[in-house]
Amino acid sequence: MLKNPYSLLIALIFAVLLILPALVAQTFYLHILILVFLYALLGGAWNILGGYAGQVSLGHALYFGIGAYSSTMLMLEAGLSPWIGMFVGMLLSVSVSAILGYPCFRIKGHYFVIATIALGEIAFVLFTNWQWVGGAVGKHIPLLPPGLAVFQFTGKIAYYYIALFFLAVQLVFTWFMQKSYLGYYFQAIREDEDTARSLGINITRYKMAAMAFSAAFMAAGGTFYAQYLLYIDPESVLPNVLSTQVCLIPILGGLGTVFGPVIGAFVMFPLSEFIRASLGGSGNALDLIIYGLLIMIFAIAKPTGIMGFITELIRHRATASKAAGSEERAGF
Amino acid sequence: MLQVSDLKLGYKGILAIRGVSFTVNKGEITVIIGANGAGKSTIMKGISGLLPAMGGSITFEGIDIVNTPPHEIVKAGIAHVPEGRMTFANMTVEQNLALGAFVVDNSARKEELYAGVYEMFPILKERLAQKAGTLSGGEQQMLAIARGLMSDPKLILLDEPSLGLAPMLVTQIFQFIRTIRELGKTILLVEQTVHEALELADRAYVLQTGQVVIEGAGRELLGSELVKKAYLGI
Repeated sequence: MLKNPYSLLIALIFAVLLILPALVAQTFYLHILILVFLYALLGGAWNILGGYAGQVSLGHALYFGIGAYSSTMLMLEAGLSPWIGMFVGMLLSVSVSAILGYPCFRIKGHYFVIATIALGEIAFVLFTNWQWVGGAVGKHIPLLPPGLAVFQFTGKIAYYYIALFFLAVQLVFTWFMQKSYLGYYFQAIREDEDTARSLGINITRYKMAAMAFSAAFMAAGGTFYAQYLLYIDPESVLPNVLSTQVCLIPILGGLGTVFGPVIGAFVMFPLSEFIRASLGGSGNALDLIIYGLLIMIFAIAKPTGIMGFITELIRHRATASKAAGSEERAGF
Repeated sequence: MLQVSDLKLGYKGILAIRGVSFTVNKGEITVIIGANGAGKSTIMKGISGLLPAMGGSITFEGIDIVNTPPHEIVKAGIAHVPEGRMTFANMTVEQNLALGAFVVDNSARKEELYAGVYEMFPILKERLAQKAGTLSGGEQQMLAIARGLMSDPKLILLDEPSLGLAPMLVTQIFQFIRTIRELGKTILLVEQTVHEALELADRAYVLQTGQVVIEGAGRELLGSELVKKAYLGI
């Protein structure tokens, strides 16, 4: 009963986003929208593991970094197209997630979170000191004649559509995932691990599956980022603050919902950009303070995030219109 | 069908169950009664594989299942309905049931199981789209049992299904347990509602501080002096 108005709204928003570049002339706004899509993709990736399966990772920049470095290094060293590099990066981050996940998922709750923070930090230090990948200096991606094959374009419009496409793929995946047995298993694990176990769910296997999907989308985002900015270093693709942001976006938007991370990114990212733009260097940390405040407010007042408000609103209106409808009929 | 012998279980190296032995016969209701902390739930967790055994053996249909991972035990045909209901509160009734049924591969059989569960618990059919957390205590217990039945078990472990329910609902739950036996399922029931449980039991064991102190047919134990004194307050 909720599905119809909902999907219509989504189709409408998607259509608007498709024609938006024709209407928005200023590159600054396009740039912000591209980053919003990217962060929605990353938030959605985190949401598979953190929101659906309930395993909070604070080291997800690791997989983003693997994606960024894989495509960049394969292009620089082997001349491979970043698209191939992206798939290699996704495979690589899935493998790394499996290797790290196996020991990490033996610990639970806060200890798991601490382990992921440590892994993220280790990756940061490792890449900072690894000369082959450029160390702390990072790597520039050389400018090539633009085209789809080399993942380089003049202007922002192509990047806009690619980011939107990546996000759409992730949303469609999550939509089908949540309706499949995977989504059920993930949520059961989040709700109560022991009960899920007693129902015959292999907990470690499905946590690792959630982590693998999550890592793959993070890596795809990493390649996109590298190709968009054409410069990567540990400070930009492996920082702790990125791990935190990708976790805050779904919390703000709505954990364990398909579109929550999108809403979260649309609220959070422009907010921080505008604060930074309007306050300049002095406002550098203010956006982080505001994130923190928002999270605290949501954690206390509305743990279901902005999506929680929206679903309640839709449900409220549905029941209200149903009541109104029956009154009308009664009036006849 | 299920033979437990000299089973030792514990938490963090401390023995809670110091060697219990009992038998569950096919098609019967076997009841374990005991006070709080006697180790009833621990035994259930041991059988379903949630808690690793520290010694002894558990044989199910002739196969040793001690220290087998829980998901394989469910596949072997043992369903565990945990104490305190433990339904997934933020998921719908339908999703809860589906989670029970994922081990069943045959989709025709799955349909039969859904039909059977809806017939037994019509209230759940009415509430399919509702979140499990919004159900009453009795309905949640029905959901937990239904979810257990959805895995098409041969043996179902019921851990204190009457816990925290109003007396009328307790009677109803015990009625359901009878119905489940009539369906040809074998039941291992752990209870503190001693009188009703013993009336139902084909076979019963009394557990005290991790050890079986008496065993016998259900009605026989109802007449036992120890049971009368310690549990029935007569």
